[in-house]
Amino acid sequence: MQRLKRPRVSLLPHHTVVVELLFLLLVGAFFVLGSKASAVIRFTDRMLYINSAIPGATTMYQVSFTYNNTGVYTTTVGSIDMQFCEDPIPDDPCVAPPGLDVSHATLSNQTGETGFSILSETGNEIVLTRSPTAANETPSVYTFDNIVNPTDTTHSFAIRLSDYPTTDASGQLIDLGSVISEVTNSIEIDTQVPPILIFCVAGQVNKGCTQEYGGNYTDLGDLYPDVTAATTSQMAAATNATNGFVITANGPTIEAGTHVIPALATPTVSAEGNNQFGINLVANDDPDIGPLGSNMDDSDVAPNAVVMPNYDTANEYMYNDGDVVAQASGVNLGTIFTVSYIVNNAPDLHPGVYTTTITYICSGRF
Amino acid sequence: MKRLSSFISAALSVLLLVVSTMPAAAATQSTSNVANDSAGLSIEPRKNYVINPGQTVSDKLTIGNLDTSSGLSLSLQMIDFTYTDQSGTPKLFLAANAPLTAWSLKPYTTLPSSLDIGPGETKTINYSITIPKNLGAGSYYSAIIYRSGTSNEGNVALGASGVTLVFVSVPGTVNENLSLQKFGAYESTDNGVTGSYVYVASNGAPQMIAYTLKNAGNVTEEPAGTITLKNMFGKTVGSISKTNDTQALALIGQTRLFATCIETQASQITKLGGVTVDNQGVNTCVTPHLIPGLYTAKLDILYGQNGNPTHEITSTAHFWYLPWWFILVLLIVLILIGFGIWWLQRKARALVKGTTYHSGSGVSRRR
Repeated sequence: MQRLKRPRVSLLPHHTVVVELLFLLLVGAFFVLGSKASAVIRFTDRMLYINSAIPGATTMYQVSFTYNNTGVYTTTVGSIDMQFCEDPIPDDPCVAPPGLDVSHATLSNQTGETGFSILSETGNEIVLTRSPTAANETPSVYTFDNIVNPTDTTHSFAIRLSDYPTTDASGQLIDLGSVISEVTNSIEIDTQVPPILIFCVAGQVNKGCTQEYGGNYTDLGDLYPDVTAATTSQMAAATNATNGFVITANGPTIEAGTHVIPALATPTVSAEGNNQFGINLVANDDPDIGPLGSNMDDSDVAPNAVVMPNYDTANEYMYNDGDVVAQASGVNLGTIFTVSYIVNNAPDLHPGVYTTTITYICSGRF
Repeated sequence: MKRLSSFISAALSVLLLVVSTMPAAAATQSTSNVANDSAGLSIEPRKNYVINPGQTVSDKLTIGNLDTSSGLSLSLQMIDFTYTDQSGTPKLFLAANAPLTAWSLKPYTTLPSSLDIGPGETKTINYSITIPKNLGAGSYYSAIIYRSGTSNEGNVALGASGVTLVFVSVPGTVNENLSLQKFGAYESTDNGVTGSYVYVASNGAPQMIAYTLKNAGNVTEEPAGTITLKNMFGKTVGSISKTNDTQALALIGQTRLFATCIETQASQITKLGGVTVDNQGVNTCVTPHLIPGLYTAKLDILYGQNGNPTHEITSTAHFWYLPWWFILVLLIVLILIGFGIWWLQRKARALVKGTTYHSGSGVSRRR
């Protein structure tokens, strides 16, 4: 018998094992990352037409779709369930859109797959029934009269559709899908409180803009090459609109006729003896003339205002015409922003009266 | 005469010297700090209309002067706007010679050009939009800008302007085309104003989930839908039933980010059995209660204009929540496992040390 020497098996050192495990973990982690998009086909060619989109109006609804027979367990359709909900996703709890009423709806017309009648109605649900019959993949349209529109214009709403082989929308569904729409004011409804945006600018303001002090100007005084001229102003904004507000600063840099003190294009520290004009919206201690400006005073309830990053660094100033300087992402009950202005000038700056007009524009977000 | 000439020359020289050494100065030295004209106003931030071709809609604008001691003089003008970035910040075309956009409402709007409002008063003005019969279906939008007067005093005159965004939908068959660009966890500390997508969150659980849609159609789109968040064991840990609860719009041509909180202040209060008052905290994100691990988010959104096909977009995204403390613990555990394997192998090696392999009879201890 041949005597074999035991093959030498080199064992992995413990640190190699750790590295290998970590590597596998990371590879595994990144392998599953990323996203992919794909369309889910249920009922096809789904569509909703509302004859009048005015909130609370009694109007005609037309629901269109094509039955999808690909991969379904049966093509026999005996009923259709139409649930009117705020949210289109079938698995979610159905919250009825405020104001909507389909309890008096009538089925006034049907094309494509026909033979349906209304089996039952509630405030937000209609069940159509017929003798169970095989459905073809033909576009079908169901027209309902006497539906009362939702009154809430702040959200879209959906009709969740599903069909069943049974006559009462029970058992396992065959197809599903949703259609969405929304109601919009085409004229003003006086009873509805509209969103409001309030905005003010002055030397000093309060959150509600009910008190403004110091006038709508601010003074830098005389300019000297070895001293930074600095001043502040304030602005306040508030809105009950769900998208919040945004404030931009607009206007040229400070100038005297054709002689211009250039604005700082990027956040830069104040440097005496150089021609500089800039602003920011935070508390500063440079230039060394005592505290300059202050930090944003946000709404006490649901604070969501921010100063944009370029104007949010202490002791660094810049100014670009049209820049967004601050915004709020949602309902904001009042925020005060303090704007600090600095001007430095070179010794050879042409004498003159240097001025500018900066217009702060506050708008809603979409 | 010569003496007079010398005197004038000397006087001019002195004047020149004085002027040249004078510092640059304020426009007009202010003598009082009393507000000379109001720069505080209240307006409606947004108007939405559905107007058929050939139809005119007349509506009212309500504007308030917030200053109770000064009058407010406003000039009103219709201007165009588009998007600034992926957010809902409008980019206003303020220049007088700005060209009309393809979606402009300027030619169809009748608006007063100025308005004076007394201290603390509110005024209502009429304006109208007429859509021509031959205008195609789609979305049209412009903005009304209200410019307050500015001061002639001081170096920096301040102006306050407000803007109302006006959106008109003209019914009919439109071109709708939203495509999903990105979907996943979103790290933001300011409710989505700034932030970025994240695949491995190590600085804390991500507060938001976001999706980015490109609008290549000819209408503004307001998608609606649901996001479901599951942990690595398949358990649903979060469900966002309103993925666009602020009615955010994707403007024509815009690639728009829609970011939504995984948990809000209001939802946490509800979980604890409380009730939120006046929707407070509905849109304020809080840190969700996630344990470290792999998460799967599923997106299902729908969009479609009235009378047009409803479109559906679905997607799945994954992200890891691996806080630094967890990574540290994991590393220690892995090191211990590695050490254990090494120790066991060493033991096994010691066990078989000195053994020989006999073909057909396996390993036997050397005598």
